[in-house]
Amino acid sequence: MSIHRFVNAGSCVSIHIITVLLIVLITIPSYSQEKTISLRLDEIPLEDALLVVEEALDIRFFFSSNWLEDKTVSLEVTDATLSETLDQLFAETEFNYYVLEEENRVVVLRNTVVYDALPLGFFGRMDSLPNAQQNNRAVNRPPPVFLSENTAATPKKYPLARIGKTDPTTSKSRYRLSGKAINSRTGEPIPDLAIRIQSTNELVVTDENGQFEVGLAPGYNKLSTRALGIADTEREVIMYNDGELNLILEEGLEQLEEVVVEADAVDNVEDVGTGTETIDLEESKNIPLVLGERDLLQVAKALPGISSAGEGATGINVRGGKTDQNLVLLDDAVIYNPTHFFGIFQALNPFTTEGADIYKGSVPVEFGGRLSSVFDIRTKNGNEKEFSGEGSIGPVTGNLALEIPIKKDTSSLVIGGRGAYADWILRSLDDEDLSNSEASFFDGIVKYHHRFNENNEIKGTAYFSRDDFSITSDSLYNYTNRLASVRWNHRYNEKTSGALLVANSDYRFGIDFDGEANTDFDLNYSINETELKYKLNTVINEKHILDYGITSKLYAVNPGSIEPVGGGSDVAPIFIDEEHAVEGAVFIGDEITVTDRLKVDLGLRYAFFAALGSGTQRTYFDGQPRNEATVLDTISYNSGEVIETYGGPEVRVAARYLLAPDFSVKASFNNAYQFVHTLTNNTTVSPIDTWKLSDLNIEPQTGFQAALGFYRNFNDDMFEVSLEGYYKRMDNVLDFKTGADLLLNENVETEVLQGDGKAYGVEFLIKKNRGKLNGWLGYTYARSMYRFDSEFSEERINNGEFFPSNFDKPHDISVIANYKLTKRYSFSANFVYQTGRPVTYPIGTFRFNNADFVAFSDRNAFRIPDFYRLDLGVNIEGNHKKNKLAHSFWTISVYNVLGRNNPYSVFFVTEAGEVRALQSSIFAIPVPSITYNFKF
Amino acid sequence: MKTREIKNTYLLLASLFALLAVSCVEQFEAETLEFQSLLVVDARLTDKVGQQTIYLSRTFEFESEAPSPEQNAAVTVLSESGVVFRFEEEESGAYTSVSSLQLSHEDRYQLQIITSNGATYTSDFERLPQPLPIEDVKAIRRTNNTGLDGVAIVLNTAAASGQPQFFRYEYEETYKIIAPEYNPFEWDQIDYDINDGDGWEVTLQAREEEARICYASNASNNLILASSEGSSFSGIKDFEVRFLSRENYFIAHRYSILVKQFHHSVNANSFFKSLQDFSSFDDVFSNVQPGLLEGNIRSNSKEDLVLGFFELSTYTEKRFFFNYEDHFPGEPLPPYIINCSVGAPPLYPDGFHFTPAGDGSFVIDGNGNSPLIEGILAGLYDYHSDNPGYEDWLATEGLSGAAPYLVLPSGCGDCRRFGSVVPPDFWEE
Repeated sequence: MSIHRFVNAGSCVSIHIITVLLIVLITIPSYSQEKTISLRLDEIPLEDALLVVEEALDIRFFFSSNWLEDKTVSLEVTDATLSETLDQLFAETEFNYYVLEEENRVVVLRNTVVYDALPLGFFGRMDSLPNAQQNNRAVNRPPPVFLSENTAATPKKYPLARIGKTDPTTSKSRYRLSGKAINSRTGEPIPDLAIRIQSTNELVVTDENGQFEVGLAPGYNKLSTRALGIADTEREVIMYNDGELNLILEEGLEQLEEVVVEADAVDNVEDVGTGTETIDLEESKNIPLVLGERDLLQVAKALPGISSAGEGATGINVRGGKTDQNLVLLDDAVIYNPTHFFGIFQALNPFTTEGADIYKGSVPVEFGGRLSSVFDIRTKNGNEKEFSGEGSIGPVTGNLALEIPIKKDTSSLVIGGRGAYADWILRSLDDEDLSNSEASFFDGIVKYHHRFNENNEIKGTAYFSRDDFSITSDSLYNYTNRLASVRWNHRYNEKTSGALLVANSDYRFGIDFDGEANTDFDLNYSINETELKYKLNTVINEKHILDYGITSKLYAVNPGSIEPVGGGSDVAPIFIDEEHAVEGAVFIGDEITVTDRLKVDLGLRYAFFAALGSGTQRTYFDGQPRNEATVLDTISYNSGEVIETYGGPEVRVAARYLLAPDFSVKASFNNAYQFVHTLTNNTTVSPIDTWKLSDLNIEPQTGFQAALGFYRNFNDDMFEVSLEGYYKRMDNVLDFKTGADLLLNENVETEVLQGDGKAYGVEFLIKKNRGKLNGWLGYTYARSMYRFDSEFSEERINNGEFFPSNFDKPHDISVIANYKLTKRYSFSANFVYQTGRPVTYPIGTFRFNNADFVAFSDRNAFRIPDFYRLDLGVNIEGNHKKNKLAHSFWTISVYNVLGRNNPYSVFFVTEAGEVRALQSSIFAIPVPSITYNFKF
Repeated sequence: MKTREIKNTYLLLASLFALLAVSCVEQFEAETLEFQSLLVVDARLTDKVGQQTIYLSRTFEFESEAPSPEQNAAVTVLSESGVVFRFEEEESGAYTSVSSLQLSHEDRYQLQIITSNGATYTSDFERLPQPLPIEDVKAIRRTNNTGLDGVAIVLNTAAASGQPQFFRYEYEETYKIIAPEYNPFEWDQIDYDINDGDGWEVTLQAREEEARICYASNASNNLILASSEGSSFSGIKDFEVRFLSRENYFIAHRYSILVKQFHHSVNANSFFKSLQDFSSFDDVFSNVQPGLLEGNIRSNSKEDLVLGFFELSTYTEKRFFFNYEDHFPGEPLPPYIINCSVGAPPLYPDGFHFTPAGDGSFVIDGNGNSPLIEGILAGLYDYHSDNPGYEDWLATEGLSGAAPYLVLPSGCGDCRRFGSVVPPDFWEE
């Protein structure tokens, strides 16, 4: 829609115009003789000035009066022609003009110029010699900027900014945009605002005074801004020339609900890697979750390709991989068990966690050591300006996070803590049975961030979590995660930046048994790893960006120890030798921009592992099953002596081809080595599963994945659609013999089987990123199968055929939807449907010793009924009075609204000699909860 | 350490969710999805001298009640030294040794089965463990791991030498029952003929047999496994074979338990341990991965699967007695097996009415059965006492609803419902 205003002398009716427009093209009557004028105007409105000129020269101007707004001009001309006058008049403005001489009309142009000749070759190849002048003009003039109506009409918080005025004589490939970022409420400059140019992914950061300068391509550009405490915005800018734009930004409290998972809209299409997801935890706060806990891992499970065996299953399975194949990092340090209470709660503080990047397809070359995925979870940098905090009170946990500036604009501290208090509610109950049981957990995190200057910053994180639970009154289980990391980011020069990091992680569990008999004991397991990593990023030129570095890890595992407790205990102490190993890698990756459309990531990583002494290892006779009877020799190793080495190259290749600016196809291939494994004889993960290092008898797992996907954004990135397929093979994955005893087993290789696996699937995801209604729908078809074959029946599962894994759920549909009714009320829904997971079902009953038992044969030959669940939630924001002490909101949610009794497992229990078939489910009824959240 | 009960799961969850019992475990009617018929071998031979029996059956569907015996098989046990013991099918599926067995601790033995369809099954060679007798069995009053007060029956063996020892236990318990409302009278004659001129009638007589004290027995049917593995003591020390809650009537007066110890091999123990793991329930969050249990018996062909273990065990047993007073002196007795509340079922039902039929007989209108007589005939009532209000009722209300006797649920006045009045041979007071 275009609107023009017809200006007549004396008529100054102003017309309100709502939107902005296309170039105005009008034909006008003729104008024959060149007139001149002399004028002197002093600081009068531009519009008035135009009217004066109009009258003096008997011409008519065409323009939109709201372009002119409050602009004032001064003018002094003598015997000037029309163009001389206008040149001077418009000199300090963004206006151009076009004179239609025959018609005595002048069209005022904002920013643009009128192209009065078509570009050379517009009508195809010309037969005759090109007109030299025309040619010149076409070359000299900058290319026209077309802004589609569609884009302009998209409702935005900020209007389209037009910068500079096209200068017909210059044509630069980039224009300079400078300005200042200012907090709209306080008027203070915003330092550290990240401004990203979405088309090139280039990033600039405002300095301490909020100043920035960025080079932009001519024409339409989209900038996204992001800073702590500031609402994320997107600004559309049309560059006509160099210019200034001040970004007046709001604080980021109120407008966070819109985008839930924003694998940055354009990134989705333009990034090279496949299978990458980004979760912003703050923005996913509306998703209704069980017992009102905001939970990054649960959000992740709503994305295609990421699932678990069921509610209450601790581990996560990514694209058909086992639960031990995920590298979960919290601020660069491995977190071995990121969950509390059998996976129902995450062990990450939702208020200190910023978000996570999840790599389920192509994994960046700097990461390694796991076959399936990387969860790179980041903690927020603290607020460097003022003290702030956030907290919540829910039915099960309480949660508090504080951001404390240490030195203004330089350093800050984030402190977070949360704990479950169900325990004391329990104890206060009269019921003796209930007051005897225990289930409690807590976690705490501290992060320090210090920026020395623009080239140096240091981040340090320390984290601790602990769970205690008792299943019977005489045994108390506990497990803890402890980690610490320090990272130094350094920019060497314009082209090279690097990071040096040190991280230490520790995971341990224990069982304290205090019964009546002489069997009291204290059992312990622990794994500890220390990692040192140095990585660099160098921009070689426009075509090559290198990522390279070296990393090394040291492992120390206490595979289990048991000690008697108290004088009366007859438990024999067992201390299994500690396992030690070193894991390392060198890596280099090159991000190659082959053409505008084709981008390729080439990465190579060499992974190395050495199992170290001291310790003993058995060797077994070749061609015989491994058991006590086939031991050939027992070898002792001294401290530090190499027991066995493994390793090999890992390839990380990905390519992206842009079929259109918002439509791409990507392909990737990568392989990996994994040197640590979990040992479990549960169908799902349990907190007392142990991690085992590869050794003489247990080889590393290896695997590769190939993926191909199509990515398309619609409607100015409002909708993202992706379709991705993958095929994956794994070798040497671990399983165990039927009825294996894995804990405190010195020769665990006699119980463990190593086999291969394959997984394949297609993932479809459609997201709506903006608007009152936003969210996503994902559908996955995926299979995951494993095979354990051997010439010995005791080392075979299912006769050596492929069988579906415990988490093989071919159909998986997830829908997450948020609807923002008003600023204060928003609703959200979460729906999941999954094929029932495979279970091992009896093939019959048998009688033995006067009691009936069930007999099992093939593993996972049957499936429990399909799983589905709907959760609903309402978020009610407190009012937004400025001087209120704390900003608050309530989350009311109902988990499993339909009350669907989703079976989780089936059990066949022999009681009093009879078989009882039992079916368990975790959340069989609707679970309502109310959580109070506050922010100050 | 792994003995947990379903109930605890509820506790755990309830504890976490502060009484929102959201998790659930419910029973369902299992149906057979894909039945496979496997040979089931229950072959436990001991060092006890005498004829011994091996049981062969086949797996059965959930829908059937009992296994079908495996008939007409040829069952033999061979020793490494060349002795052959033949077993003959005496009862369907039960194969008893033709001669008395006397297995040697020095020799090794193998089980061979050829079923009627020609499938052959062979076990590994197994050896009897050296004897390790039960040293003592005792009862200790304590609270168990689920918080119940009661009596634990624990046992000890002597110390063995060297390697860990493995055991499986069974028990037979016998307990004294004393009818709490014993009455020297019992029902005698029942006249349930309305036309004999004197209406319905129930008469009493002095008991023909003393029925105040009875003895009943109960045999274990769960897997009780123990080992000295992981213990600094190479035998079994204070192992709990049985726990009886103080609410359990079995221990109300005098209780006896015969503990049977089957000392077997490590492989036998791990076979039964797996069977136990597969048939028990830890908590809703964990689920041991079950699979085909492979014992030491193998089929010659891949298709014929077999379940079972050729278990050679060294047998010992020990009997132990205790009285309730020994552990709960002066404390109230556990509640009787059933609730003994007094009732007064009428001889004639409410609204009883009959009319002459003309031929001198009477016809009862409507549903006119006698609650008292019906109950006695069904074995529901023991005589308690005469109903003191009976005469008044007859005088004021008439026949309908009139109850001549106060009665107790059967078993309260006569213990024979729950046991036998004859003490077993081994019983000692």
